[in-house]
Amino acid sequence: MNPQTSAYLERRRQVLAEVRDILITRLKVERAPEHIDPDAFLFGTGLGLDSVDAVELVVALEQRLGLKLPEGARTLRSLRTVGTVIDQVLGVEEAP
Amino acid sequence: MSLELELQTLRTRVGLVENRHLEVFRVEGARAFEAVDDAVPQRLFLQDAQITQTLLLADDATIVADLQIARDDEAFFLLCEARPGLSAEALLRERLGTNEVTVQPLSATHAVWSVHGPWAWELLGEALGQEIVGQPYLSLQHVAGVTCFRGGKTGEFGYDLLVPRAEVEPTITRLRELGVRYELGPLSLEALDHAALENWFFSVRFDALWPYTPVELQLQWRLWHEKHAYRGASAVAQQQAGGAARRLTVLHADAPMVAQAPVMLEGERIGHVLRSARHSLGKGHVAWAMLDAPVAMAGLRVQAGDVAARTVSPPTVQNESLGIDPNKHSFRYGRRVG
Repeated sequence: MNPQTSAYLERRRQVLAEVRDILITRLKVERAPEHIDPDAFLFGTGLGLDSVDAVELVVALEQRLGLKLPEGARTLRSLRTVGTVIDQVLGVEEAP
Repeated sequence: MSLELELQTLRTRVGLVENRHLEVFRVEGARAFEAVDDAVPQRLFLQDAQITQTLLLADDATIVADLQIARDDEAFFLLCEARPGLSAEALLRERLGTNEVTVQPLSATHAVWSVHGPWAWELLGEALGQEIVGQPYLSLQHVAGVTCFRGGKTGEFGYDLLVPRAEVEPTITRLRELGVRYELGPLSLEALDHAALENWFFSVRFDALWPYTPVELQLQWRLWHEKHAYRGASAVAQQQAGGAARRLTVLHADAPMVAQAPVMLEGERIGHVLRSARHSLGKGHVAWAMLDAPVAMAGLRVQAGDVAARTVSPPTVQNESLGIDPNKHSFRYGRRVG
């Protein structure tokens, strides 16, 4: 595999692990890390978080990863699933 | 009406469909909670009027039915969509048993009509009562002689109305009359399933998904890890312990992708396309693909058959419903989302 692709996949796995850990330790999602699917919905259906949790998730991610997410990343439109949160961190192009 | 027009209706206005594929049962009795709790993989932690979403599994953990459970005081409504060819009633009776509970199918006495779209709440508020407007997601309420379940699998506002058969004609006539103001249109099951695919909602009618388990389909949130006695639990536990070898992933491309087409990453086969559809808002094509777990992630450039595609994080629609605030917006009065 292309080293760039390998590095990207590894980085994505690392951020996924951080998001899962925040969900479990800070937001009290009662799941084992591997039981939180990479594309699980965060709000309403899925993991059942609310808009207050969304803010906490973003703040915790910024603290842990030492970065500032774009303002648009704080909206529910950008935080629909675990995967869309990771996209924001990695700057991955969103789905249409 | 064409599928394209139905999807425009669903994504921008309001659509109405008789939901014959959704079968509703009422479970009552002194041990109703225990019977339902023992039968399903999800934790049955419900306040009155709340709904939870789960599945019914076969012994090998493949999915045989999509199930919503709504608590109604001490009884439960079960909203069940069985895999085509299977009987929802037989599946439920087999799992619930008959001791100290009654399982009443409501299809003889009631019909289910569904209303979907970003302005569904406003039409139903006018037709049935303003209490609909504030009804939380995944809840039920009894209003104007019908039972209204708020849920949906389209990403837009969605309501399933359980209507006594004697009340169907006046109820639906009123919805259609008032619906003129909302440009109400008919919807088909095909449109609902198309929207489900775009919005990352499982449909039990997607036959390409039938060989797979909730672990592979990213539906673990519909299971509760502390339950071990439901049918299929052993197979789920075994797969969770070993880690799934493959995982459902979403692709986006400018050109149509074909079911069964191989998905290649840098010349290596990593999986295949399961189901594909044209994006309802004209934004290319969307597919669900089963990919090897280590590379089943968004952000990769891949080849789906002859088509250049990329893996993306679902859902693939920015739903208009997400931006609507019933306190500010109104279709009827022209106060749309800016």
